[in-house]
Amino acid sequence: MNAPAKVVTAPQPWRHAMRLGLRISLAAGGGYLLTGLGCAVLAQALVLAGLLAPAHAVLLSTLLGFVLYTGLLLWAFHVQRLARLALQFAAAALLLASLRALLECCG
Amino acid sequence: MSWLHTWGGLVCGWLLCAIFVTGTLSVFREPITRWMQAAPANGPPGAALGLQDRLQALHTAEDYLQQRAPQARQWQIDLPARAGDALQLSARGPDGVLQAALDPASGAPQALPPIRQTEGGRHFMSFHYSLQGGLAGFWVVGVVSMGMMAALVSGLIVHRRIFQDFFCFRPGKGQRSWLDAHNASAVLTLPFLFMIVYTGLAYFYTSYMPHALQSLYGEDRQAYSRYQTDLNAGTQAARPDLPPAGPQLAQQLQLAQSLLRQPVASIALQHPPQGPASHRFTAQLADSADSRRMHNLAEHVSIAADTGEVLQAPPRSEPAASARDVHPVIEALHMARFGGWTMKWLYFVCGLAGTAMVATGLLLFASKRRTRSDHGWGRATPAVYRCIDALNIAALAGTSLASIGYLYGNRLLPLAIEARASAEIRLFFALWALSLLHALLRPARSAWQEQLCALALLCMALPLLNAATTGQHLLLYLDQADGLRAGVELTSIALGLLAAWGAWRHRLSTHTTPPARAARPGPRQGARA
Repeated sequence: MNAPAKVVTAPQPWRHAMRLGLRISLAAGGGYLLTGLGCAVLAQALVLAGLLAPAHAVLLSTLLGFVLYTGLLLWAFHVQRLARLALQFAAAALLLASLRALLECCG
Repeated sequence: MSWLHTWGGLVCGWLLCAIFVTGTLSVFREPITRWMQAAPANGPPGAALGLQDRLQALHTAEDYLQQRAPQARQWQIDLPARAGDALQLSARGPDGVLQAALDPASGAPQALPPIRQTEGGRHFMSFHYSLQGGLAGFWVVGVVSMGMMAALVSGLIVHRRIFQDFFCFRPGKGQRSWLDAHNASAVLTLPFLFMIVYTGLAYFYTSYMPHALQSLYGEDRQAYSRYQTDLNAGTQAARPDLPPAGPQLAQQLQLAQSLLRQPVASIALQHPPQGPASHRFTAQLADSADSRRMHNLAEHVSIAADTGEVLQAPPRSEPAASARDVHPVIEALHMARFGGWTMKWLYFVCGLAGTAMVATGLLLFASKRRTRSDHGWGRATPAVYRCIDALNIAALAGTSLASIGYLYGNRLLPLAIEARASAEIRLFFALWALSLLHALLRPARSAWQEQLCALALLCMALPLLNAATTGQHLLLYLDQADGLRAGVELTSIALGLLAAWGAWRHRLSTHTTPPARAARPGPRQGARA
């Protein structure tokens, strides 16, 4: 819950700014990318599992997407270590991308 | 997390403030448009027309269109609803577009009341969702809205005691009061704020997040329309059980009216070069106050031109809610298209309170920085805080000034200038920029004071301006039961009083609160940064 500003000490302000910029772009860009992947995977999975018609799956997963994105934005500022955050996001992206490829093979 | 709330809230807050102010005004875009068009007042509205008068009007329309535009592929007939209204016709054909306004009984041409060409209240709506900046503006609003989502949730975490603190208000204590006001306005409107920002994003759901759509419907241009066809499959069924009305337009109108269970407002007669001709009868959009449904769209009936067979009609019984209603309900929720004027007023008040939440957050930030001794930005610190102050002023007072100035522009710009509607919008942006410039040049306290005073004066003098430029005044509107235009002026006066109160409080606080008192750190600070 601590502010990232407190984690890094002050002597090198440019470094602090760089890390902050990196965190912001990870949150906004990475979060959006993950959300998009998540939406696509969810929609495909719902259809493949026979739970929803394609149109309804699109509706549901897109509307949930905004909630997911909000959660990811908060998560990006909750995790203290930037490297850990980057790792988590990369792992999630890899997982979702392979799931998506798998679902595309099945469908 | 608190960094996200403080700085994310600040950076998004400037635009959010402007988006909230214009969004709140958009609730009343129709009255504002009507006020800005400045049609001459011509007595109270006439009595509603009966079926015989409407059939007579239809007959007049048919005669006129048969004579003047027999080749047209599409005719549009807008029937008069009340005595004194004109019958409005348009025809689109190989020789271009023909438009006419006729007396419904005699068929003599009738001049439409002269109105000013203006974007009216629609400008506030376009600014609200795209900053009048096309696709780029649309995405900026999307980013800022996501910022607000994040700021709302992180605000609940950062201001841990927000719900307990709701009952605690300490006025006249500088920074503490801003914190209390920020908390109180946030808690009071929290459900509304979550609803409005979520439905705002979800309104453009597949535009902001096309990934699910693309994964199931492909990435080409037709993907969205395929999705819509899927979603809406089976909305309006053919009604083969009904006896056809025959080729006579009058009989078709009566059949449509009985199916719609309300008067037909307009008729579109489509005669495409290929394919069968059809007539589409659309009902008047009923006042949403009388409806128990969330989404109230104008219902229509389609009838085959030659046989009078019913092609499409609203289902006989109230349809069960289904997935296709989800997005229309989201739209209705965002735009207050339900519950009539009561709901619009509720949205307006909640919108003002939401603006207050964003604005008090910005002021809390500024008041905290003023009293802190650290210099987070090194030598640039005073300049950075100076800019933040100026942007705060432009975000709240500036947007409000630009909005009221837009109405002044509508009355004061010369009537003859080219593209008057876009000149009004340019004036809006010019005033916004001027407010920022003024805030940068003057000390923050004086800038607040001067801009709030100007805002109060402009808002309260709006009826005088109207009387001076068009000769119409509040009493005239009230006398003619023109509630829309009277409402605009009365609301403007009320907002002017609000701004005056703000200016007065501001003046008091500058004179009574010594900076040292505000500087004392509180025992429990919410948003630490």
